[in-house]
Amino acid sequence: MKLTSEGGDGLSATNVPPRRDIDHIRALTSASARINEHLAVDEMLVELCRQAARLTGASSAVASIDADDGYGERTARWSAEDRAEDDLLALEGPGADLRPEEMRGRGWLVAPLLTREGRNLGAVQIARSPDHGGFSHRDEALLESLAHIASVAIDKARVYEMAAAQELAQFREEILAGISHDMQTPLATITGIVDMLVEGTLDEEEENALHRTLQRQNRNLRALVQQFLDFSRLESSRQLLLRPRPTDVVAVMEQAVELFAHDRELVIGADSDLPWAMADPERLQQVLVNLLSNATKYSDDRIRVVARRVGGEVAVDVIDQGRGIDEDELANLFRKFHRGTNSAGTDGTGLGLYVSRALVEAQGGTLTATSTPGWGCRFRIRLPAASRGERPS
Amino acid sequence: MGVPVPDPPAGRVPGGEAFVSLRVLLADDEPDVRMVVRMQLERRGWDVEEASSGYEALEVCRGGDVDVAVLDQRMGGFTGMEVADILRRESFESPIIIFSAYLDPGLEADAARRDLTAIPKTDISALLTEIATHEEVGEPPKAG
Repeated sequence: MKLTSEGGDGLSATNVPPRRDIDHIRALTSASARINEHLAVDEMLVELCRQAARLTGASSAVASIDADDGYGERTARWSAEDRAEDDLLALEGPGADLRPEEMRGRGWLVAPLLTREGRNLGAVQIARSPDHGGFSHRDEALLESLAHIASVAIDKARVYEMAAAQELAQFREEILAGISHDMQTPLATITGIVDMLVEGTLDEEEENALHRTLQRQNRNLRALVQQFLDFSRLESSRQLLLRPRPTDVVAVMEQAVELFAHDRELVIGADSDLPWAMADPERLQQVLVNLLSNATKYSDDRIRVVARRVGGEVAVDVIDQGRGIDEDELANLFRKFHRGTNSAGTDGTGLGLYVSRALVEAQGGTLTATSTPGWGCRFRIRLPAASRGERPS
Repeated sequence: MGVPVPDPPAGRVPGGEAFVSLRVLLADDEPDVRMVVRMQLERRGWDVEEASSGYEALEVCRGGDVDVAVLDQRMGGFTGMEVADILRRESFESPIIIFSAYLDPGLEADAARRDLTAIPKTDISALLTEIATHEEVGEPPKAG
């Protein structure tokens, strides 16, 4: 970095830099530190304006970038008039420039912002109001050095932001593809069935089979839509909509199991003295359907659904005899968008278990998983038992 | 042509008749999708062989006599595209249709590059039309 000093204050005979040069370096070092404290380009531009004005006594500053590489235009502005509002600096829209009234002063300086390869990225401009003097050579040197320091930081942050945005876009694309795929399957089935029913050349047995499938796929579709609505509520930190009430868990288990009985051997078991649970039956069914859907995806054998009394709670286990889940994977199972290592090729968005756990917890319960790899998994829902008085006769 | 007609392979209507029924492989891991599509295919007089995974699809095609293979893209085992690649390497020459719930431009481009037809699952009638275009394959050679 080339530093120049103003007037006759060059290096003295004793080789000690004059006071002004030391101040100059100190000012730049502190400005550099402040700019590099930020991680986002927008914040860096704002800080650049603030530091440029601080170093040169400018009454207004504008920093903008507009590189022709897809990052987009950004402009930050600082003006002495805004200082009253706690140094508030505004980010402005594309094409913002020094305002005409700001250009009426006696001084105007501009320094380019460049990429590492020397490509122009934008500029930082400063101006002084008419009642102040013009800028000095020192100001000019300071602005040039500051622009150089800021360029390095901004260019790096910009490249990082572009990579992050691309990653996010790809991630969104994958999630949307998953959601779309999950919904297309029931939609395709429903469309195909409706076409055949409209044609009306089916015998009674065929028609009955189609009606049952229609009902099943319609429920699947509704469950998917419900899952995405729940997910969206969770994402925006809103409460899930639940109505817990004394619920016959076994009846809910039977309804859930019925949806999979065409495809798989399922066995239901329950303690004879099983109390009712405090739960929202529709939401409990939603969770059970999700667990059963996973179990049928990842195992080929019989699936058991068992309800037990455990202390003052009702525990519902979904037990499969599939490949099982190893310890590392168990730890991540309920994370948003997590998909199992065995999930390649199968449908899914990685939302099911995440939403299921939130639903069970919103009913005052817990959802946990245990597994012995090679022997299958057990998912356990625990719900508070309804007290005696709450159980309908 | 004066070549004697050999014994027809099992499951085929003997050559020389006006119409030979197509044998269609239908691979999808969703039993309800298989049921609905199978019914539609059978109503057009085609024979349907089902597979519920990529592995099963490979087994059925390797067994021979598949005139059209309909492969779901997302299945357990192999994806439809992977099954198609393996089959082509093994000189399986019958037409292959990728029947996918979600057709993004990437998948369509992948299918086009492999000379496969891609049809969205929500459009069963397009699937029927596409399969029908291969019906002539079963017609006996014309005498020349």
